[in-house]
Amino acid sequence: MSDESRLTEQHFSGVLTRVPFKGALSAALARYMPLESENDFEVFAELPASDAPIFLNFTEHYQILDALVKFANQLWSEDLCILIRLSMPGGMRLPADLLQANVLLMQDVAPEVARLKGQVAHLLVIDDHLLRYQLEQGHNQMRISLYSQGDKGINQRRFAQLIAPLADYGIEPI
Amino acid sequence: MSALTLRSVAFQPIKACLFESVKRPAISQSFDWVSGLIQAQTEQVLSQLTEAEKAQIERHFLCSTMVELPFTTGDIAWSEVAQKLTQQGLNNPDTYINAYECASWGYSLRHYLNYAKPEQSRFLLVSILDANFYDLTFWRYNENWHESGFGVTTILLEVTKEVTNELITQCALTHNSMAEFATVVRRTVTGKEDVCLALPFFPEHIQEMFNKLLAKQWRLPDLHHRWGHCFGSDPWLSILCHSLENPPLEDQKYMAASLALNGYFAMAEVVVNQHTQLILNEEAAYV
Repeated sequence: MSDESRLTEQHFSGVLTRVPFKGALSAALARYMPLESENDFEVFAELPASDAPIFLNFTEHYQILDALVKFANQLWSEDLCILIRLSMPGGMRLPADLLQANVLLMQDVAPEVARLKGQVAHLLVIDDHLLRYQLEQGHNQMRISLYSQGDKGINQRRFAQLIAPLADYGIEPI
Repeated sequence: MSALTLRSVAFQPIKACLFESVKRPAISQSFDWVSGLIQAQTEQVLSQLTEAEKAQIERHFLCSTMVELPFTTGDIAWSEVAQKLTQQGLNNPDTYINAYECASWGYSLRHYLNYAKPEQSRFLLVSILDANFYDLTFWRYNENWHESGFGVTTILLEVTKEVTNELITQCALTHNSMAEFATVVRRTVTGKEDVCLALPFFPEHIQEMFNKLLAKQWRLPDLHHRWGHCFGSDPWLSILCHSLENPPLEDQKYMAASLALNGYFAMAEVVVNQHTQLILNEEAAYV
């Protein structure tokens, strides 16, 4: 039996509907690049501004990702590879778990999913467009996928456990 | 013997003020132009490989530090860029990584070495692109690293045996990243007198720190005065310029090291020899 044929997939699609940490103070971390020349101002005047609400800052975004990665590493303690759509500007230093060797941060996860799906025991993909500042485009959506080999029932249960806390952040399934 | 051999290294400088004499085109158009430079450089870098060797190129990462805004704003999508690049040539990049800023090349290499199948892991291409697509003042000069330098670097690495301690990817624990980086660099090359350091280019006041903390270590000269800070390209450009001026006659080990503003750093010990292809192109300007 090939690796591909034993592969099972789980998917979660959700959207952030409110500030994730209700009642907690949230620092205003969005920064604007220093603009000096006529060209600088012209460029920024022409850039699109998102009309989607901004519910979190960089710290809170990384906090959600960090919690997901930490929990996933517990649930699948061996042979877990994690792909996350994440780019600069970082705004701040990334949490240590996001910099570990079983995690790859990239602009577009699709090529790596195609490459690793079925090739590693467990592939977790976090592909979100949670907006941290107004230039970012998207609708606060988050998609999480698991491509797993091995016992389907166990992986289904673990995936359900992984995504359960997302409701606490106001990330509702769509 | 180091596990990583630098088979080819190329740098294509790109003008800092890209649109000084022409009207700034749509970002998709200027990105197409840069994609052409990446495609041409990839062909240059692979020109000395046999067809059998080319068949052993497993993948090609495109890394960057400062090229993100066109993707953030949705003006271009990486999937479209990658699709065009794939149509243009077999070995063009299909993966774009900039989250680790100037250290992105090292984190890409780490991922590759962890997940490539052993039988497919012989050759790896990494390109590093930094170009001022919007001609923004901040990217040309800022207080962090003074003048910037822009361009495309492509390296072709050959993995000759299992990589163990030749690659280091780490993150500073404090906010004094520069000193932590220099300390780890120093520790890494302790007892390796035959390894020459290729460090990032910084203005003089930052060079002073390296001069103190790495006073006795063998280092290539800082070329900030010539090129500016070229982000993740610096160590590779450093090795390239030195090797062009002093063509290697035998194996020479270098520790290529990059440090990101947020404290991520990467170091790779590579061998350069008389067979390493060295390519330094004329500065390209958008016309």
